[in-house]
Amino acid sequence: MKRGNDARRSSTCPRTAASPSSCPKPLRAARQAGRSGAGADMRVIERITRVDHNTLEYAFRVEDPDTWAEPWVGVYPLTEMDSVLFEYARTERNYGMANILSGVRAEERVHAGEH
Amino acid sequence: MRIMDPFGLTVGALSAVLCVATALAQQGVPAVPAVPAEKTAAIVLDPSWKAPRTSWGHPSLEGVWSTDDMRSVPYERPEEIGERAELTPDEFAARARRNSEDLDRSRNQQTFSGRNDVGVRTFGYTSLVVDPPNGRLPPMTDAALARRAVRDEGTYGPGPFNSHEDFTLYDRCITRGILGGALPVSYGNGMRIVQTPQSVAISYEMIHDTRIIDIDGRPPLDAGLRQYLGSSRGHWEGETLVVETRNLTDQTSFGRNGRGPRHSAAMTMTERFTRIDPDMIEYIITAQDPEAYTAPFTVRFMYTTQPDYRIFEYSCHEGNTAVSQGLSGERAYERAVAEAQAKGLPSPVRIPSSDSLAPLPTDEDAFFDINAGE
Repeated sequence: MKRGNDARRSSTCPRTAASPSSCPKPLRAARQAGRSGAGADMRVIERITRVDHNTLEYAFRVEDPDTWAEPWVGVYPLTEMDSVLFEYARTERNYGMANILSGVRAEERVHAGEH
Repeated sequence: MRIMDPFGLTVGALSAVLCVATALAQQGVPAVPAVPAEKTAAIVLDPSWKAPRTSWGHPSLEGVWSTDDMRSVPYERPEEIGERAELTPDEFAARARRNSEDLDRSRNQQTFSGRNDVGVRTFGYTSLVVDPPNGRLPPMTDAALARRAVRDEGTYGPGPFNSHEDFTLYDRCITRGILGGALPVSYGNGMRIVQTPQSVAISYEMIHDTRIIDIDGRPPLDAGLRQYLGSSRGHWEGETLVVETRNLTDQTSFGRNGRGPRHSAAMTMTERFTRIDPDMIEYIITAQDPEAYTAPFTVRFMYTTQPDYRIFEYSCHEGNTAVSQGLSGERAYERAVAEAQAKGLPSPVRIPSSDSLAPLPTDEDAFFDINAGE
């Protein structure tokens, strides 16, 4: 699930946007605070425009002075599919979290055995 | 969910809404209705009444709805009432008085969960099940009963809990199924309906399932493709949206919150949505599943509007300590048994989670509360 505070990591760096052509750099303060996502006061403005019979232009502007020194924008097309959406059985097959946790526990046991 | 702050003011300071909320809070004990709500529907008062239309001419079901008003109607009819589908005037007066007291408590006293999830209307039905005529779900088949498992009741049942799969799909934040998503429960009975010319979408606040019902005449999905919410295709029959669903799994159930013994993947259902009033949608669902139920059955209830009701994000996983606590409680009980045995003492009695709200034994050493976790 992608949420607002994942924006910096999950979006590709905007290229067609009006200003920045490289990834926006987070403020040192945010990095020092160990925060990889956005701040609670982030404001996102989305503009969804139908630019073609089967194309939406999806543009977004992120304003978050606690995290980024200046606002940044991105834009990408959403193309209509000749397809249908299905149920996504996420929780049922979510072994990622359990495997990561059990992997770390296994690593801890290895390290414990070294002492 | 209807959200009000401790002063009875609605979150979100629109002045018009504020006035309504303040008026509600100052109402004191709500008036006791004299007539069952179904007899006040616009279509009953004026049979020529028609639902408002969408811009493309379909009857409009759009809006935010809830089944809170149906909380006081039993799912299955008490056996002593037999085939009588409506309350007597005395029974109705008693239910209406209870509802009024519940609403008063909800508005003016309670601070606990459910405080703002009490309905504002009283219906006169004796059960939500309307067919078979006795208002009770038909018996399940031996094959369906043979499939019963701990997971059918999850945290509502006695366990034992040895895996996350020993919990219901609701406990696990996955789904409550088609009927379970709408059947009234103690909170979170809201849903939002949005229409287009080609589809009708129903979003349920609890578990945030969204059903997309295609009404453009396309065929159902291939029978091999199974989903918790199946494959739904709808069409308008006059004022009524008729929805046929198949391609279900054998993992959902027809109890409240989608719990109980599971039906089979052969189940098909027909739902009928009819707007009978600016503030009421009559919802009738008929299910047939010869593999799991000995007869078809029909359930009916109303979706209604509620003052200041809005749909919010539902943080199911974030607040879901039930699964981890059920599992850790079970492990703790196993350790307690092992320790007792090692000391040659009798094993502590395991209190099943379904009894955890019952009065507890007074001798605190004599029991182990599975819900207490660690």
